[in-house]
Amino acid sequence: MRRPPHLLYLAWGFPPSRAGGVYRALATVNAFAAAGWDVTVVTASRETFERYTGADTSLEALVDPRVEVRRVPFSWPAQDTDVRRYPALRVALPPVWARLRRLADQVPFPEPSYGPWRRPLAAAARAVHDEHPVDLTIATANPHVTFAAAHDLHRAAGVPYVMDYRDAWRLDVFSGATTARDGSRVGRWERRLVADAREVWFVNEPIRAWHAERYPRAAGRMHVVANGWDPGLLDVPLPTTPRPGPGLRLAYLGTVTPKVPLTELLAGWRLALADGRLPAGSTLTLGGHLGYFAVPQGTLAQVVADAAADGVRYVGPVAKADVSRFYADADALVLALGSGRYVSSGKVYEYVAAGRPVVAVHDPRNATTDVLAAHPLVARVERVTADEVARALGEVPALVAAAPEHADALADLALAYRRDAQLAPRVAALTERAAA
Amino acid sequence: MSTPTVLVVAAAGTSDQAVDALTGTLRDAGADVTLVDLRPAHAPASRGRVGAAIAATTASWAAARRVSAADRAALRDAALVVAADPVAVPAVWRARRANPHAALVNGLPAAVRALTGR
Repeated sequence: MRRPPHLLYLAWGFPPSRAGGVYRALATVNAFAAAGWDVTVVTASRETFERYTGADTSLEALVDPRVEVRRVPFSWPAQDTDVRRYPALRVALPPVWARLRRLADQVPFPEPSYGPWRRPLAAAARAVHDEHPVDLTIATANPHVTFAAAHDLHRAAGVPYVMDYRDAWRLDVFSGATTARDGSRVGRWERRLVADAREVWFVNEPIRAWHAERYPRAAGRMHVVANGWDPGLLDVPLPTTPRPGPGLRLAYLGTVTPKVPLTELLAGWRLALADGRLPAGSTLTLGGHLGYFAVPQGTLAQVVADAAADGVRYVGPVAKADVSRFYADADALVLALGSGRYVSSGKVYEYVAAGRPVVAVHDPRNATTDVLAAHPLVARVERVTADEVARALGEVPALVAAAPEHADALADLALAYRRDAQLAPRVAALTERAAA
Repeated sequence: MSTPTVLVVAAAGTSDQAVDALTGTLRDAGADVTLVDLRPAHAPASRGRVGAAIAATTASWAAARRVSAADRAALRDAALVVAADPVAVPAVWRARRANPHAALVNGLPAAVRALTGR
């Protein structure tokens, strides 16, 4: 009897990490396990997420029990929040310390913070292959150091690999700028990695097209594997809990990064409340982490705290097990995103599945706009300014009132955006190839 | 039982309302909060990225020098000391000798994690 194919999945972020990309990783390994593959995941240690990015332990239970998870320690001095461990140089001259740290990190691989992980990750991948021969590696970014480990195994043992970029390495998805020249170390690495990859995956067509233009010989191996919402994580259809008063309950769920137009959103919120476009007593609940990392970025916490008097409430991270309840307590959702035509949101699919009106506070050229194109209850901004945000928020009362008559259309739309539907074609193709 | 906690605020741009909210978050997480307010009377002007980095660095040194005797006593007795912003880090770091047992953390999320154990 033929043995099942063996997938090695390399990812820095994996449960209990609470980072957005974790849901894609989780769904991918579960899909391959369900398709009959033996699956081994090599990822960072639990402590990495508990210490640096925040952990959601409820996610670990969602990993298919047939999936074996191996963990490789990861050290991240820049995100260490224990001030007692800080060296004097970091305290006295933080920019100098950060610069030296970045240089040292990039010696093994040109990726700040993650470069030093290349060797332990590659060694772990090799150990997995030695114990149980691997038929295919999928490496997911970011960080992109996982690609290097997959490439190392490919060179050493001929194991083919798939690069799941999600976003991009050399393309700044917000500005559209190329961040590393062709001749740079990053450029040379990327050329080598893409040339040898069996498949290369991206989250949207604009990002795929950008890469296809630069690597035309690999264009036929490049695929869009869009994000989606995870049926196991959301109890659809979601009920709406009764409103306690006349005000509407708006909510934002997601990591609040410095790219999120929080200032414009909150200024627009104040305007809409002040001139009555939103009913008095309306609230805006922000859920999620402030910044990607443990060490605070900018003054996000202060900006959010300043808005407390205007009905803006920050409730912190929402465990996956509580997400359905979070949405159930909202009459409408606010999708605030950074600008750029390459920008995708994982959260938008969940917003669609939640079946609520959406206030789209982002550049209309974002790739996210395509996902919302068929959504009947969207208030869009033309530009991300306070006035435009206030105008869009002013549409919310009418959209909330119209929501019940669009429930069926929203349910159909949600079905199309399930994550398993996005992954299925690639899982089938790779399974077929492994069996050949 | 509440945890004796010192919140150190030093960034010039942090409003009183924001300080109240940060303090409230810590109290909600089980802290008995003492505020060490090292904010300067006037925000230093800076231009460009390098200028901003230099201004932030020198502001953090200046903030550490503004720690008063009363502040030092609070820092010495705390079980948890929190730098609310990057400018407050040197002042918090200097507390390590006077108080060898307190947890010294950078940022509110780390403080909440320390208080709630999650």
